[in-house]
Amino acid sequence: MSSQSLLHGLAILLFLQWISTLIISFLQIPFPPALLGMLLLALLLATGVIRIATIEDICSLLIEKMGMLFLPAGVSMLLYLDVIKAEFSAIALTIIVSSFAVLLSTALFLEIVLKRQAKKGGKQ
Amino acid sequence: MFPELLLNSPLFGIGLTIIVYCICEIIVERLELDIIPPFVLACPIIIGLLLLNPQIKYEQYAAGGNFINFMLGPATIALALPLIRNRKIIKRHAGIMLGGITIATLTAIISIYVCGRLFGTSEQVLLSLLPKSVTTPIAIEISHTIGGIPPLTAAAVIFTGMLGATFNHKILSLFGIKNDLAAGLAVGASSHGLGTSVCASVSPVQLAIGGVAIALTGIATSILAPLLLPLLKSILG
Repeated sequence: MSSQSLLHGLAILLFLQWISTLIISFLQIPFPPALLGMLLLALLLATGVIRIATIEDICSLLIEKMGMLFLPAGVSMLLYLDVIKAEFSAIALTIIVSSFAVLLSTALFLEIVLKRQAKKGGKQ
Repeated sequence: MFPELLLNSPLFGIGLTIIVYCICEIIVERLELDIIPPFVLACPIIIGLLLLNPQIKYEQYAAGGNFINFMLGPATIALALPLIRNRKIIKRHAGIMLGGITIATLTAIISIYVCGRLFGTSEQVLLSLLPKSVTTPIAIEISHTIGGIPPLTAAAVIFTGMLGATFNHKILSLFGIKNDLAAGLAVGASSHGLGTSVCASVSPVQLAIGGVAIALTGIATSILAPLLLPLLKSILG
């Protein structure tokens, strides 16, 4: 990991976010700029306009430490402790049940479909 | 414990976030608690520190915290890297992945509505919980559109992510799901970036699929939530 490529990579990421923010505000659609930025970067990498080596270091670093970046949002929970306390068990149960329902329904659907595909592929 | 000089500078929030996170990383590493992501340890520690020191205002933490929060933007864009590295797998399975995301989004919206009614959350809280499986910036946007409380949505998103980061992979292995495509998509769709960041230590393919799932679930939820809500209201009350 070189410090130069870290900085160049960061410059590209920030520039893409800049452009995405402008595009979204111009089009006036409710879409998060960072997601548009992700699609733009994927496009630029796929077409070879940006080399993977240029953004590799900063991307790996940001992804690996993404958990830390969520901390301030987590701490902002502090502001709504009253509401959360008042309905804590209902909120917690709803989140727990629905999170695992989503996880399992999605994973099992894919497992079943992929296994079927593998069987079909085996016969051909 | 903290002098005013420090509290009145963004240095405080930035420093506190990074220092506490690193200490938690070291604790997790030393005690070999690899089941607990450092975030899950660090978040209550910072909240506790702020609650135990009432002279510190939340705004003083947020002044620096906002800088860290800002980096979530570039970090989301960075997910394009695993995406591109695994584009062959993604292209080959595009159809199944779209199917999986549709199922994930429908399950999320319906199960939250049913559970919320069943466990008795108030109307506004229910609406705030609805976009909880989606990445924070989109979730806040959706919450705003359907009449929830955006900061409460942010809290629900983080709680979902913490839950997912800690338990997703244990539950998946309990059900014998080892396929990277199935696991990655399910993790990304149910617990966004916080859950997906754990995939980084499992496999690069899983991380890439997780990144795609975050993007697709965000788009699907922002389209489906406002459409399904009136329908659920008329059926379930």
